[in-house]
Amino acid sequence: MDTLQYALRKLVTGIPLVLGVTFISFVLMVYFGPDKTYELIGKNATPEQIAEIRSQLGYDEPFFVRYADYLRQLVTLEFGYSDSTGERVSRILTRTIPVSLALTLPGFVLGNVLAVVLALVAGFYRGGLIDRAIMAGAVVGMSISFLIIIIGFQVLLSSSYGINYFPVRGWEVYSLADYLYYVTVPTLAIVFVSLGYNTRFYRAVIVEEMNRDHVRTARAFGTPPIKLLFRNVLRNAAIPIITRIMFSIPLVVISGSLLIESYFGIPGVGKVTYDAITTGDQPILKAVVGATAVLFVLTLIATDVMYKVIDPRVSLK
Amino acid sequence: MPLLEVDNLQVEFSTERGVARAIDGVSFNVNEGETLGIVGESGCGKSVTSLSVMGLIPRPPGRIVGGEIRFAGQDLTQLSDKAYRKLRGRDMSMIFQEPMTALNPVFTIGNQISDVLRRHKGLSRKQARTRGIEMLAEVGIPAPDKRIDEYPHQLSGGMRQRVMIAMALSCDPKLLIADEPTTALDVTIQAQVLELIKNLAADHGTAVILITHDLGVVAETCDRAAVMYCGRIIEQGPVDALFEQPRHPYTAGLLASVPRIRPDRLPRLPTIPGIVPDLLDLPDGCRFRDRCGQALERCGQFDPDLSAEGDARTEAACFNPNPVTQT
Repeated sequence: MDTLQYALRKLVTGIPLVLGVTFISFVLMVYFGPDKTYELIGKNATPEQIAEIRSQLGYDEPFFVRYADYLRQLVTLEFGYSDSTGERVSRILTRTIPVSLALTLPGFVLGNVLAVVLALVAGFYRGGLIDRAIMAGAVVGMSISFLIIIIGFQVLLSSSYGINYFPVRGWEVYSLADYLYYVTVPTLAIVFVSLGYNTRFYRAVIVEEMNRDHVRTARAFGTPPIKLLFRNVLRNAAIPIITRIMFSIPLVVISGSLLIESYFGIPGVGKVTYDAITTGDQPILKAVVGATAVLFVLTLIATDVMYKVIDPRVSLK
Repeated sequence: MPLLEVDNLQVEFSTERGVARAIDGVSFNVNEGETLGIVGESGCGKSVTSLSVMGLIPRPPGRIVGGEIRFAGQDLTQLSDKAYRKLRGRDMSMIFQEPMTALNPVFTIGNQISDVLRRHKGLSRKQARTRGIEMLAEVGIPAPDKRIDEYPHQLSGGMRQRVMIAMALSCDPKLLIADEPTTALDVTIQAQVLELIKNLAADHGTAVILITHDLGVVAETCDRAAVMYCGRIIEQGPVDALFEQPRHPYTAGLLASVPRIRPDRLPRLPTIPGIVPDLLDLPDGCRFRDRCGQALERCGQFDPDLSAEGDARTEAACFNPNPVTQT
């Protein structure tokens, strides 16, 4: 009950935050953003024609009217039609966001779960051979460029130089088998890229926790190693771990999938965003920028609520 | 047969500058129900000694390179990790210096006490809770049936140390090691906690090793005491003899430098000149020689062993100990 109240209060305090971030994105991306007037108008336009187009586009409205208009679009999720394809922006997003999620989620989850497991093992045997082997692997993983990893996996798994079983690109998913067929290589690439960074980060957190007094106490009372790792180490390391996971969600959903999607030719929201940036497709950009901002704020609130659930010392005030 | 026999224990730590022998040939006994004080300055090896007995030396960098630790006749240095875990918390347990951080912050104290009881005594959840409440009452925590559901951060330092004592004695161990249990507490609480350890240990028939740098604490609580210097025990014996007639110059120096209310105000508090030698660069012979006012020539050649001579009631590791005066 307390936690629910806390969550609601956090949501209320989130409102000014949403207004703030949407205001900044409005100023940068909309008010000073791409101006379509001269694309729509022919050569040698008269000042009257220019004024007419600008009025049609709403550019002549006062600043705050335009901001209110942007907020209304965000709330109703109605951003108009794409400049390049004429498709409704809300339809484009409902079509592409699930694809991006399906594409990045397995890699994201695996990359974090594996990293936590490796970090626990490395932390437990810290200074030993196992620890050094895992950390050396992490550094290698971090040092190789994302592009090389993608190409490497494509060569190994999707070409006649390797096992040539998986597709190089594309996304035609109608069944679970299709899904596994298309998602495997991108997932491997995502896991490989994130594993090194994640493992290093989580190991640092876990080693710090292993040195705490309460871990020594637990040992002094005969706690077996697995229980020690979960009850003492992981439970207490949960806050930094969750912080990292939660705050990478907005990035993974929107921008993290960008490279993967363009390399594997997958029609996700990352690719849509990339195309919108290169063509100046303002309705889509407005939607994506606004949605990212709101997603960040929601993540922030969710993270705060999770802290409360995990750590009894986080006060309800 | 003594409960605990530590025989010629040697513990080394690998450091970046080389191998440091933190404990070099330490031997002592603890009898059943007895309280032994181990005294010494920071870094003299008293904590390492207690951690060695508990099998909690961090490995690496530390390792036991020689000697035996016999607990109820069993050599602990040969014990498997699993067998050692069964011993810890059940037959021997430990209280630490920092009550503020020694408990797991994300579980209630009841949960943590129950965990120990269920593991070692095979109690059910309900039985463990009942026993936990009894233990909290025994260490003088008011309203234990409510307190048991609180988290460590809701208790004061003194209360947390009481919880630690309750946890440590919950399985009626034969040996309790208390490593500076009162150093982090307020003076008024210190006396209460010491009294509590003393009384409860007597009730449970538990032998206690009390590690401290506070000679006053030793005088009040211990039957016997061992003084450590630079990884060795330099004098041990009954507390009254040690305090009345210290034979080793280091013990005498320690006693002289305790601040206390004296009939005449001293111009300055006596100190022991010099500093503790580096464990990585020990002098030949006696380790205290450079700071000793009564060193002989052979003190620079041989390191003296503990020995009792004549009427002396303590064993001192010194070639030229203070004489025994008849009182």
